[in-house]
Amino acid sequence: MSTGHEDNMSITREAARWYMELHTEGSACYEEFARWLRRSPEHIEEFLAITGVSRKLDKIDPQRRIDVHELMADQSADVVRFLPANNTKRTRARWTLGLAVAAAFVGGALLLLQWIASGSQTYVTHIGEQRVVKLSDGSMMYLNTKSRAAVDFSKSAREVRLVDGEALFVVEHDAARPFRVKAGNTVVQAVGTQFDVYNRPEGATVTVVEGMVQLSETSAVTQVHSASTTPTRLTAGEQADTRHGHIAKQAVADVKSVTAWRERQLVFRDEPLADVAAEFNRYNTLQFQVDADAGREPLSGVFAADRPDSLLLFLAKDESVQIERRGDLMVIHSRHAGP
Amino acid sequence: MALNDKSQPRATVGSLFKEYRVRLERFLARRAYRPVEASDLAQEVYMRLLRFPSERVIERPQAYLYRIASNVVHDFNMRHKEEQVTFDSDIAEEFAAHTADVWASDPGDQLIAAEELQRMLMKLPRAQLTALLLHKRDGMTVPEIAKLLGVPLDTVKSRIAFALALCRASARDGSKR
Repeated sequence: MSTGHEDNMSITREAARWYMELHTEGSACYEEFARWLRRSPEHIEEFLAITGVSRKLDKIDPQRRIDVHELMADQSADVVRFLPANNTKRTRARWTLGLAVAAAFVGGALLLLQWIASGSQTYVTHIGEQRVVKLSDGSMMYLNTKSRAAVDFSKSAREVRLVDGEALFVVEHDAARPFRVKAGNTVVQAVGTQFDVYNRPEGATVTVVEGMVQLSETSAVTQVHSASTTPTRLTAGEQADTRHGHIAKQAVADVKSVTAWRERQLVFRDEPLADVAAEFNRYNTLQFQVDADAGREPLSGVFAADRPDSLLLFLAKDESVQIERRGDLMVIHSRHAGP
Repeated sequence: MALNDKSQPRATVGSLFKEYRVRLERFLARRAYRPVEASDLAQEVYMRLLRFPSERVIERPQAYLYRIASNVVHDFNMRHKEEQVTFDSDIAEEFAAHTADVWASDPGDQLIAAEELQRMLMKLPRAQLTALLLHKRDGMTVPEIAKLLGVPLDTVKSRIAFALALCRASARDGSKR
C-alpha cells in the first residue's frame, strides 16, 4: 500500500466525521462531501468501511452488560451531585418542563438521577434482548425478551403494568407503598419478595420464588383492584395461571427453571416440541414452525435461549423429525406422517 | 427510479437508501476484514463515480455512492457465485458437520462480531463509549444525546465519529496481521 498509516488514519477520521454529519438531521453540505469523495479511492474505501463498521456496531452490547448510567456518572464525578427532590406528585407534563429547565442549567449527573426517579417510565425489550432495571425504590425488574412494562410509582403505591411479555421482580420492602404488578386483569401484590410474571394473550402465569404474593383479578381498567374478591395467596415455590378471571394454583417442582431465562437458558422437562418451539421463537428472529404431529413429541433439555441452532442440533439427531429451511423460518415435520 | 425528480429530493433519497442500504451495509460489515476485496471495491466504485455527471452526484452524494457500491457488490457476487455456500432442504445432515454459526443469515458477520466488538469497545475512552452506546445500542438520536449529556451537538457527533474511526482502524490493523 502506498499510502502511509498516518495518512490513512486521517482519511478514516474524516470519513467518520462525514458519516455522522450526513446522518444527523438538517446538516447537508453535499457539494463538499461529493468533492471529498472524489479525492481518491481511499476516501471511498474509508467511507464505505465506516458505513460497514457503523452497521456492525448496531449490534453492540446486545445483552446490555455495559451500564451507560454508571459511565455517565463517573464522567461527572467532579460535579456536585444532587439528590432528586422528593416531589412524588410530579406529572408527566411538569416533568418534561422540568427536564428542559434542568438541561439548561445542570449537567448529566443530576439529569440522570431525576430521569431515573421520574414518575412514569416505559421499558421495552425487543426480540432476543433482556434488560435489568433498577427501580427508584431499589426494587429490581428483570425484563425478558419481547416485553413491555410501564412503571408508575406514587406516594401510596408502586405500580408496574406488564403490558407484554415476562418480568422477574425482586421487591424491596416498603409497607407504606404496596408493590403491584398488573398483567392484563391479573393483579399481583407483594411486600418484599421475588416473583416472575409472564403475561400471555390467554392469561398470566405468576411464579413466586421467595416470600409471598396476593393474586387477584380486576374487572376492566379500574385503577384500584376491588377488595370484594378474596385474593389468592401464593407462597414460594407456587405458581398460578389466570385465565378468564379464574385462578389455578399449583406447585412448581423447580422454581429455578422458571427464572432460568435470566441466564438466557431455556429448561424443558417432557414438554411438547410445539411449546419448546414457541419459547425459542420469543428470543430469536429465526422462527420455528412445527407441524401438528411433530409438535406432540415430548422433549427434555437445557438450551441457550439465543442459540436456536442448539435446538436444531438436538433435532438433527432425532430420526423422527425432518427440518426444512425457508429463509428465516425453520419448518419441522414429522417423518412418520405423510407429506 | 426518478433520478431527475427534484421536487421531492428527500423522498427520493429515502427510497434510494432503502433499496441499497441494507444489502450494501451487510456486505461492507463483512468485507471490512478482507482488505484486498475492500480496496478493489473502492477502486471500482471510484472509477464509476468519476464517470457520473458531477452535478447529479452533488445533489445526493451518499445515495449515489451507496447505489454505485451496491452495483459493484452485485457484480462481485455474480463473479464469486460458485464460491457461495448454499443450503438445501437436506439441511439436518449438513448441519451436523458444521458448527453453530452456519445458521446465521450472514456467517461472516457473526464470526467476527462478538469478540471483535468487545475488543474495540475496550479501547474507547469513556465519553466516546457513552455516546456510542446511547446512539447505537439505545437508539438515541444525536440531539437527544446532546440534551441528555448537556453538551453541544457537535461534541456528540465528533465523539461518535471518533468511536467509529477507532473501530474502523482497529479492524483494518487487525486484518493486516
